[in-house]
Amino acid sequence: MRLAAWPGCAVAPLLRWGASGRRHRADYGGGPQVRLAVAACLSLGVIVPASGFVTGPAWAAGAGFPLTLRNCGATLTLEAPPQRLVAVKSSMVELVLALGLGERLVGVAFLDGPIPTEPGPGGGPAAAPDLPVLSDRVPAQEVVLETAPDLVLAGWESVLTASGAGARDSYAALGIATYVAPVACRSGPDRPDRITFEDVFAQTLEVGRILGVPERAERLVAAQRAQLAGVAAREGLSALWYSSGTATPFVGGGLGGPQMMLEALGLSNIMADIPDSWASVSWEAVAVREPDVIVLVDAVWNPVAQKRQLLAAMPVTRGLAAVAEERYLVIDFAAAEPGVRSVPALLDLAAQLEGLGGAE
Amino acid sequence: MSLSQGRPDDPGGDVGRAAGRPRADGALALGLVAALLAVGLLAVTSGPAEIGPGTAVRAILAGLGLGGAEAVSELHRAIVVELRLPRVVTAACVGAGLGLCGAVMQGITRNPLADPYLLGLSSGAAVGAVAAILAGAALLLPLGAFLGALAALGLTLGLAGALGAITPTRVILAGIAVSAFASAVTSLLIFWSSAGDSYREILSWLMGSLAGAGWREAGIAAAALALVGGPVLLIGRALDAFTFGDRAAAALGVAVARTRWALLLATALLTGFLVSVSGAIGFVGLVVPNALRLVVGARHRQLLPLSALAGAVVLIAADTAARSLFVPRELPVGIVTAMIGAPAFLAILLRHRGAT
Amino acid sequence: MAGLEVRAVGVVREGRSLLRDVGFSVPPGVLTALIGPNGAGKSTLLHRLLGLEPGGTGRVTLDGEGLDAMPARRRARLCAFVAQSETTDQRIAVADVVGLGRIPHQGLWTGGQSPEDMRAVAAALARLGLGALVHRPYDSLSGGERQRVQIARALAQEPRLMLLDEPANHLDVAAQLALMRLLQDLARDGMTVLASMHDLNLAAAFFDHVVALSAGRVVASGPPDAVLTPGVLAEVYGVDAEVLVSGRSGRRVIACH
Repeated sequence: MRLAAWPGCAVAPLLRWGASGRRHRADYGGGPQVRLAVAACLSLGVIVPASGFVTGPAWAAGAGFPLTLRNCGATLTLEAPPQRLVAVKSSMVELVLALGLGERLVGVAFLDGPIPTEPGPGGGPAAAPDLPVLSDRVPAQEVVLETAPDLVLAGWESVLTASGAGARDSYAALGIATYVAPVACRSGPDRPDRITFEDVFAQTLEVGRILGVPERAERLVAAQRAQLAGVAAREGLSALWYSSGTATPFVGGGLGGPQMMLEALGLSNIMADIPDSWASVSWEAVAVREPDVIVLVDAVWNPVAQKRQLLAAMPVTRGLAAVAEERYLVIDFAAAEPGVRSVPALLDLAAQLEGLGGAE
Repeated sequence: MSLSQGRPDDPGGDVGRAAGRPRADGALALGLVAALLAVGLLAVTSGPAEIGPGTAVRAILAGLGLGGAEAVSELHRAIVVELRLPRVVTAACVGAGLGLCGAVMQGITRNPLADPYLLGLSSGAAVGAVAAILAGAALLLPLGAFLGALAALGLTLGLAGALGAITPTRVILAGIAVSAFASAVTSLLIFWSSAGDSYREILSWLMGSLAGAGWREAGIAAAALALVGGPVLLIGRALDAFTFGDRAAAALGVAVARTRWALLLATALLTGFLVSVSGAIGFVGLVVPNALRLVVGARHRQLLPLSALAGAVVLIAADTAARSLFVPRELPVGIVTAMIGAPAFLAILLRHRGAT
Repeated sequence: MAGLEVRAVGVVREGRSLLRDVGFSVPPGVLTALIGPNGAGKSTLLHRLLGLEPGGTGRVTLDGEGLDAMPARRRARLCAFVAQSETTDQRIAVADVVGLGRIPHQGLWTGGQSPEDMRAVAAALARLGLGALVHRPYDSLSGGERQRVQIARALAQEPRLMLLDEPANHLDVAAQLALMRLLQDLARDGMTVLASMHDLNLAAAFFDHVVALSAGRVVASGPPDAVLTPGVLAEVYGVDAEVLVSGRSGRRVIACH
């Protein structure tokens, strides 16, 4: 699926991908002929091939750039806002769309589910329905390279490994910047201890900076903060975050996305004593800790219907009040990943929680 | 009258010391039975929920319909009777079956490195199980695993036959080839189709896990042990005749080929059932018979039932550890058996070398 | 008729005829030696008698009963075999090796050693003087000791026919003599004993009957005087043999040139 909005991208093959590689040099200061050409190209919507020239929609020349920052154990250096983005995993794709930069996406991959098409949270432009999907799973490095990106955004750290889409070093050697979502950073000193909404907002702001749209990011974050503040926390209830698994449930632990969401809802996570984002536990432990509410993650390989059936069928769980009275909150698998969808998902959960009626 | 009575111990023979002593064997068997009961009780009273022996017994009685249901909360009753007890029974039957099959395979191939999965059974079962998980038909998992195991067995025997007359060595080699192939298929399936965190369920099965073993699994394991394991136990006594080779066995009146085939197929069938219930739990079938052989010698008449008993004890203990070490988290039992089994096997090897 | 009767026995393996039209009888109480060069078919003949050669023809009877048609377990209760050298990688004690001889007498369903079994094993151990070795692991014994253990195992089978394949091979002189006397005792007690022998002198000294095999055929069969003659030995072994008589005991000694 090619970008429908840019017919002129038939010119894309003209982009030279040669030994010189791509550079982020902002050679904006070229001669008047170039500026004329740039203006002409803009109006035609054509990307001008040049050894290093990049153009794009409005950004302040040089503002905040070149920038250098630490990202999950590596150093990211950008001379100019990247214009050709490859985003892997829904969290990164949705973040780019929420910042209104969908047209910069030259490739997306490994989506967790369909991308929402309604206007993005925080009032950004409506998401483009046609995205250039490179792969259902992690794409091979060459597939990514073929799109001639200047920044690869990875929603999971494991995406940027040699057996995935290519190690970060190899991209750096080719002059391509790579970015791992900080909330998903698992290794090295940059690994977060716990994920909070502040971390999510910080990530949004950082990506906004990197992409050259800091004000949009700030607006988005401000809006989400306001929404978050408006959530009435429901005290006194405990909850289980049930992600997947039948014989051994895979549940949300004390650090990470599930804990973040449950805390914001005012629910106490019965598995908060586990020092991990997710963990495999026993049904016995779940039953003994008697959650008042159960959050069911809806995934294609383990849908909510299956989870409800299992909980109702197992003798150890069917006696639980949460199961007998079906005190379930449902969340989409993609939304469970900390990211720009977290706040809307949280609002949805809060509304569901309200709908459950009186607390015990 | 004991064969070896009336003779002082020969200082040179530490293996021989135990040989021909029915009383020592009886003591060992009794000890293992006691250990089985002890570890079973421990297992039923271990877990995230605080349930003491008294409560556990009352829960079991209530579950059997023998009244006393008011004294035990429904949750505790469900935990003991629907979660822990069937799991312990399954662990006992699977452990016994693995111990028995391991001893028999080692006897048939006359190789102490043989284990129940030699014929590609566990790898074949893995293909079936993973396919079932990925297809979203987790209920059909035991069936898929069993069919996979049988298919792998057929392939192994077919391959061994294609190489010429079927000998133990050829069967082992064919089994290795089929295992490798099946593992590759499993990896491909996982790599290709698994989404999100579905890999966790698969990984847990591949390592061997008794999680979620209810009365259905316990029933399958128990029935398999009784109906297939029973005959294996009886026929397996003939393995002693093979001590000095096939010809010597034939000269002792044993139908060599028929006995070997019967044992091989029956062991494979039993292993297929066990794997379908619990995944490929490693090291029990390998280490338990070798450990017992140090004590009992190679007398299969004693070795087979003792291997079964010891296997049951070991697996119940390992599963209890897997459930209880990191509460509320749960490890697949295969990890525990591997972590204990590998150093144990090393110790046995060293002991063997030292003694001779 | 009593004893072992062999009639027109042949063995063909992979198109080659290893034994052809072999016939002789071994009465009980007559210690019989089977002699012949390597490759003559001695081992093959012994295996054939036990029913261990699938391509066998002819008729073998023991005390009038056909051995070939008999169920293997019954046959193992009547015939015991001691091979040239038996090794195992299992760690098994001497008492248990001898106990293996009771397998033909034990059904699938019997548990452990019955009093009968234990008596037979104890008797066999005593007869072979293995009391001191009872606990020892088999693989720690010398060749001669192992041989004795295997014979004890064969005795534990309580057979009527004992077949031995070159039993004196690994034994020192004293042990050889002891073995020969044992075999004579067994024969005297009524057992039918047939042993293939490498050592012609032992054959000459201790055996009552000799069957000479060459290239799969019986060349001669009769008392040692008749078979162990320069003529027969030249035909069978292709050597120039001289038969001497000991002045002291009258025992025949064969010197080959």
